[in-house]
Amino acid sequence: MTTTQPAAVELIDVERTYPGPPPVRALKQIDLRIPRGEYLAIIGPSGSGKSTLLNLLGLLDRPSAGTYRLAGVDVSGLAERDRAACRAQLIGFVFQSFHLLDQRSSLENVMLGALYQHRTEPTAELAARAARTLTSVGLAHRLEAPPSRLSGGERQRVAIARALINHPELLLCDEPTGNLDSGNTATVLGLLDNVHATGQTVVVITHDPEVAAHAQRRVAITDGNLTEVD
Amino acid sequence: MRPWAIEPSRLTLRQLIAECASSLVARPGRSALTALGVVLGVGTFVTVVGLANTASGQISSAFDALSATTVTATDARVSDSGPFPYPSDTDARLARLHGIVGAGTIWHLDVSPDQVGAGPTAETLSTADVYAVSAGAWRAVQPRVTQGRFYDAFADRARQRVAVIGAALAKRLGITTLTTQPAITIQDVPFTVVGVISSSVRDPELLLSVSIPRGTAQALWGSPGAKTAATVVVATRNGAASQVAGEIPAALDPTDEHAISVTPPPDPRSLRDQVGNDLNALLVVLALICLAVGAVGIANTTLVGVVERTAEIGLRRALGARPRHIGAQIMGESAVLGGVGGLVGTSAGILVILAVSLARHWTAVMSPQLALLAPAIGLGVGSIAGLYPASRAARIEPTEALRR
Repeated sequence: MTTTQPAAVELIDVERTYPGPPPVRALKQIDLRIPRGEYLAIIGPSGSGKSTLLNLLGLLDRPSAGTYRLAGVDVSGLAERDRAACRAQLIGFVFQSFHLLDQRSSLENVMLGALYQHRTEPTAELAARAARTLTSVGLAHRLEAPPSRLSGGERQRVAIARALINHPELLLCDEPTGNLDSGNTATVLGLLDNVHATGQTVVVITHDPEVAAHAQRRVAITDGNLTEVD
Repeated sequence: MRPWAIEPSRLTLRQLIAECASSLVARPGRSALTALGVVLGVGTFVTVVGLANTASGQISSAFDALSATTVTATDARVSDSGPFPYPSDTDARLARLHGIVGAGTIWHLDVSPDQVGAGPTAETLSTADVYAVSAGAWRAVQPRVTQGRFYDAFADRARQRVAVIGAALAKRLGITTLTTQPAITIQDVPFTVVGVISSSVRDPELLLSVSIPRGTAQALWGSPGAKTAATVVVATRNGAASQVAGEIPAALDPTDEHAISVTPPPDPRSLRDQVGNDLNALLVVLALICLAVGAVGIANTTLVGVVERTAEIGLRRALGARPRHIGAQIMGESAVLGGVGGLVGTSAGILVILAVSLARHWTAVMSPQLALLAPAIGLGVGSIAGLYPASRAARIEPTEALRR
């Protein structure tokens, strides 16, 4: 199967060194393969290289050395123009602090996820799609609410809907429950389970074992080295 | 070569405008305050340029009415040796010229003030001038008569001892009515007051003075010397002034055209342009300073806004925005603010021009180009002000921005 269908993510000997002085080797010869449809947790304390790995996976940063294949294609050498295109169409981000625009409704925040797509669809069509996505994360009743009137869990669900509206190859979550209480954490983790159940590739970066426990597979990162956990 | 069938990120103009509008509307107070600088700048610009136009319009219409139809000729003798250049039939000679409404001679008589008095018992006056005014000059000077009448050419020829005095002087002399035929004396020569004038368009001096017929003055005190600046005042029809000015010397003395010097009126058009240019240049510089201050205001607030919105910019980059999309949005917001500020400023400026014009009873003069240009200036100022913040925003690293 792996021979016919490329993995969602393939990192081969990926290095990331921040130029000095002194130079910092944030990632050391990382090898990571994430098959399509997998739910992976990347665990590690702060300063371990987690954020660097997230930035590389999300095409916000470039590896200093090594190869990154996204959906089978080498993206390690792409120019910013093409990396932006890949971010727009292949990657959905979910952040710890949600990053919703306060002045816009849930629906408008989700629509923002499709703003930079190459293909522009009529506003009404896009709004309908955003509404369906919000409904799928259980917020059909909150379409017009601004983020300030939503609970933390609801805000993160809006953010997840924004990440999913483009049907990304990879859903990349950075501490998705870091700002949430236990009740809301459970809701969001349940939602991620559902999203994964639809066949979505999900990568969660976290230091929380409870969050990591929801994933199919866990890898740990310490001092820039990646190891399988079990 | 692109390895991928993935099309580049895109932001259409319509989407860009919608994003700019949405961001500006989200912070209405800040947007309004930011635009205020441009409102003031463009408003000042429109106001000063419009008022300058309006004011120079008034200046020129004043010139058109009076100066453009006034020609004066002065005695060009350098010493008393030459003959007095204005013959006794000056009025008649000039009246024959086409385009002349009225013409006459005026000179100041060298009689000392305390020799002017009202009636034999009245106290003497210390501050009244006496002018010799030919009968024809009244039609050129065009004063308003409140009582009595002007003396006519007959009085001039017959050397009658009559006088026309200014209303202010009449009041000081205690002359309230002419029915009693009041008299005033000049160097013990009695004159009957036949008229009182209350306004004088071309020669306001006459309002404070005693005017007596030219023939009478010449008979009593002789022809004026070279230094008394005897003048011929000529009122012409509109547009005839330059033509008439050229004909006057020959009409008065065909043998010596240098006996008098004629001052034609200034060309009203060149005068208006000159006044307008001086005024405009100064005020436009002021308006430009206002605009510059407005631009700095927008640049500053937009820059602060960029710093505050770092996280949002990072998010947009994560959603696929290219640096140019971020830059375009920041610049677009700045340009929209400038454009809206320009519109509001133009409207405010026009209102100010109208208000000032109404208060002063002026005719507001406003070029349509200015009304169209001013909002465009606002747009341009906003765009320029947005350049630096936009380039800063475009350079924000998403990895840093999203850490917040």
